[in-house]
Amino acid sequence: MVEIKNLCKKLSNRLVLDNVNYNFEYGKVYGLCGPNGSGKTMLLRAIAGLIVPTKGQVVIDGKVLHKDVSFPPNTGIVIENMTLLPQFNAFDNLKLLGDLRKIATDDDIREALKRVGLNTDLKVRKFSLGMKQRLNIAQAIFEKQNIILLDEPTNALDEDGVQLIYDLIKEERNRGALIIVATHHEEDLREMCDTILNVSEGRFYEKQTVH
Amino acid sequence: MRRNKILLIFFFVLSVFFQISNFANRDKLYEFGFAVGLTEEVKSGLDIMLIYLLVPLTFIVFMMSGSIHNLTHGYGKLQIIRHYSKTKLFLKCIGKGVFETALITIFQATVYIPFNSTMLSLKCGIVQSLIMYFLVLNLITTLQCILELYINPHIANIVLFIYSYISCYIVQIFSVAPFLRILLFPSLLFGTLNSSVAFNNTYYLYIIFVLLINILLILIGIYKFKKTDIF
Repeated sequence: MVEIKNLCKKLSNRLVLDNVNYNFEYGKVYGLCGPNGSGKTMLLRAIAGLIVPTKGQVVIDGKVLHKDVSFPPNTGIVIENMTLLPQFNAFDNLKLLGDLRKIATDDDIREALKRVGLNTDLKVRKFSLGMKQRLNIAQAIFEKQNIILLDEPTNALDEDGVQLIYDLIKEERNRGALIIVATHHEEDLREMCDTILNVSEGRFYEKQTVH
Repeated sequence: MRRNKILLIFFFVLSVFFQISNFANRDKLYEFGFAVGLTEEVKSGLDIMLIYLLVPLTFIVFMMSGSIHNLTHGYGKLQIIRHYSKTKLFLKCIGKGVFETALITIFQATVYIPFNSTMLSLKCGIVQSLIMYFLVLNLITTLQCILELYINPHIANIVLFIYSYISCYIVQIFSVAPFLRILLFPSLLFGTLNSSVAFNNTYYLYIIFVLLINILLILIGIYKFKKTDIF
């Protein structure tokens, strides 16, 4: 379980996360919905251990982030400004990342690429925006991550790609992963999520259970 | 990325030979001059001589730069979340720096061996100078890592090079008190300036100082790295 306790984050005297409290459970898909700058991505960063809270805690499976561990174990993330290496192809990119933890086999990498519909030996520098997004999603799932954090996962994807991501998210949920999706497209969230949290000015003020 | 690294290594090797070619057959440099430094008589034309002496340093610092910055930007974010501890990750970067500076020092010493006969010979202090060169090089690269947590790595490179140049210039020209030499620590790179050639007690004081500052910088680096937000 991911527990968010009194989480606050202040940046340049602006409160971007304002006393957030919530428990996220495994085997469910959560959606964060809100306008740009509302704090959706910042919460994903906080859960991924990328930002240090000004106040409060993120507790993952009983371990306090930035105290017991710096980053949550086995987490996949798709977030802006994450670029894969342009000089390598998709497989080699995932292989390089996989070598850091050595929990994914070559077959796992091939399977993840197949699942996102990437079957090419092209180098990443020759990828379209949509192909890069598919590869980003593949890197977030190829190690069978327990927690998957997706920021605007359907960006740059065509209709088929969007449907593929919907299906993939459902499969990951059925596997038992906790998935948190942040987007400002509410229709996307209704399609994918079990629970939608509305975010505004760093506050999580409403909860809708979809499924 | 790999191409850039190869290009930098090529220019570093070139700069080492550039240094040797400008010092060989001149009586202004001792053997293993990259670590021992200029003779004490060098005062006129010092600015140019120091450029020859410090040019490899620019490439060394440049080669080692970006290790911390790259972890917090772009592809680095994908790498960093696959680690559990920022402290271990920081220490890994520092350890890599120690290994690389050791390799660089050994490389420079090896390249100098055939040319030593054309330079002024030293009776003592060579090993001490090499040790001090390695330690100060390490200190400079650690400082580069720390600065990268605050400023752009390229700006940190320029700041460090200018600081190194000015430090060496001041210490070579003026009779600077030992405690001031500590402030101008890049000058401790060279044996003629850090007393290893004279081999007196200040050498050991400088060694202790360099080690302590290095440890302190690493502790500051770990603290700052743990508090750094990655966007």
